[in-house]
Amino acid sequence: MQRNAEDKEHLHAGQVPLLPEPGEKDVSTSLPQSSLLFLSSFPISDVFSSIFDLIYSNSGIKGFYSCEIPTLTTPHSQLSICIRRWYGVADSTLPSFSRMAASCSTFPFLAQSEFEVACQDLADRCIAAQNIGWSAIRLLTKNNKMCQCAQPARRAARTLSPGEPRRITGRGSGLQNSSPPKDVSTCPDSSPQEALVRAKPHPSLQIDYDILLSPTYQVPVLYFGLRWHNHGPLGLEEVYQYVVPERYRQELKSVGVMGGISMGYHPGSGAPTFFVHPCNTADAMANIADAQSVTPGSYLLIWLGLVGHCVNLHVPRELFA
Amino acid sequence: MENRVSLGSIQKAVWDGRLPLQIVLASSESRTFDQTDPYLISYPRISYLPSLLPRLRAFFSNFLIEPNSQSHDGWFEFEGVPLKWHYPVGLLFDLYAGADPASKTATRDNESTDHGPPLPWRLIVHFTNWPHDLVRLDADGMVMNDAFINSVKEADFLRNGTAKGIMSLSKEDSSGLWNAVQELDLLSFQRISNILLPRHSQPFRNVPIRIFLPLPLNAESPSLKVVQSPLPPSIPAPSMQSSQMLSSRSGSTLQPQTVGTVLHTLLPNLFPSRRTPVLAKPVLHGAVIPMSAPIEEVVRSSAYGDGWAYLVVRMMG
Repeated sequence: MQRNAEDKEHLHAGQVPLLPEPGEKDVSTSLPQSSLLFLSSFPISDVFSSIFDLIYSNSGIKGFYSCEIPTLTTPHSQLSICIRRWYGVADSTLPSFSRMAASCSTFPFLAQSEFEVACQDLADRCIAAQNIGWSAIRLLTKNNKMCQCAQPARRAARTLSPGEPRRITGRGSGLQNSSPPKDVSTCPDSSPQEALVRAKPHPSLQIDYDILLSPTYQVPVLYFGLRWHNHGPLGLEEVYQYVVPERYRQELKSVGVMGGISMGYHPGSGAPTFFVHPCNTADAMANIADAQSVTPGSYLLIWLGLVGHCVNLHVPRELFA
Repeated sequence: MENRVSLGSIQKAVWDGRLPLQIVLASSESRTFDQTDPYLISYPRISYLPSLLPRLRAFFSNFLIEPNSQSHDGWFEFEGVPLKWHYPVGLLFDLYAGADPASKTATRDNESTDHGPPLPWRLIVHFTNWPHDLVRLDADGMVMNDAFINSVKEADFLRNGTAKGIMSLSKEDSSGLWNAVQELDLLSFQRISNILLPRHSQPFRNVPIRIFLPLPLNAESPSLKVVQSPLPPSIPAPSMQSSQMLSSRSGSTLQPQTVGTVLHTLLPNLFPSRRTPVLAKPVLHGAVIPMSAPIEEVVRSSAYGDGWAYLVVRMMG
């Protein structure tokens, strides 16, 4: 309930209301069927040159995943609202994507180079925005991918000094403003510039999300894993119980061999992971976005809005600033 | 030109390919430690290891220290490496077993003398302590079925540029495909996969091939290095400008993409030549495949059940 209050506050503080006005219909339910993604499949392992890493835990969203499960019933309208705002609006009302004016060359697919630009754009937005509710966000690139992939296992965010080269861009975002008290300590096995910011340990569910480009489908794929603090990884049942909002559960479970969420191996780390089937992503993107106006940066945000809400990864409105 | 074989007969040979396996129960899980009899089987290369688990669970049931373990608790190990069950056993053998693959020049006889291939392939089965780096199986085999179908969809998407084929497949045919692979029923498999495959007159859009790189000998974590890239079945002939690649669809300016051109393009350091293996060689179904083989024909004839050709790169010498 705290969450609702917070949303209202944002509504008043922000310039653009992302929540529906009273009495306004939530249009997410009337989107065409093709805008829902979970019809198919994904690859198991491949070589990627860019990994975008979002670590999302309870720290920014105030007990959302800790024992107060009732808050899970809070209607999650943010993402559907984002979709509505994209739906057929004129270019001028779209967020400005100053970095990339060019539209996507292979729309509704996303080329590797454009994916990298889009990831950088999203990372920049997360850093520019304060207090977006994600506990950490990291951009991993090919050269340092192996050493960084081990990181998500820890509930940790890395901050960098401004002077570091861009390709190492691990950056904490909004950490100073998020709620739980934190110990700030230096990570002994990392380079001197890096500090490890760790939330005080308490029972909590941690979800790590990774975005990677599928070399088969040429669209981004959302991978995620979840674990209780200090415990091992959890299974598909827990995914539906804790991660998938109730309103999507039946729909998501009913497609494919065993539902819209599959288990596979993380292309970077090789560890078991969950992922949302990407094979219908291109069709969904084609239905929602307009080929001429979509830049790589906006592509990734639209995509994240589409896919994320079914697995509780909500695009903070601050990212559209 | 002796014995010009058809794609169909190669496919039959691939489906007939078998590996002798010798599977022992992990000594730490056996009441008799290492005195448990091994389970021996000649197992199809295109099959998947978990399909053996019910038989193994029954075979070892009297020896299990943990009698309550289920067959889907079972997992396989080779020399300390937990084997990823979603890969067909033939691929796992080519990847890990280090056997010198059969090639056109070496006959079976003189091959098995020096570096005798480690046959039967000795595996260890466990029914407890599921390793963290493997995706768990479930009691009714849905996880395995799902992984297979996902892989089929990917191959289909690459071949057609859309996954509509597999998604419009009837439920019977969709599960029939998986059953056909499990039961080694080539006729049923061909009937269903012919619905998915583009006709011979119509080329693939891209050819579903994954290339597995050699594993470092003393790697701490033996995570597999896999290379995948969109591979059109034809590429511009050397004299042509690259700008014509997309526009030209007439056969005159294009040449078939071969195993050699793919390897040379994706892994130029390992494959400095398009025609001759110099430092490394490509292995498929336990055999070195010719660098001159057109990749679309390779996949049409020699793909695994999920539609993919998994090439393993082996260093020479």
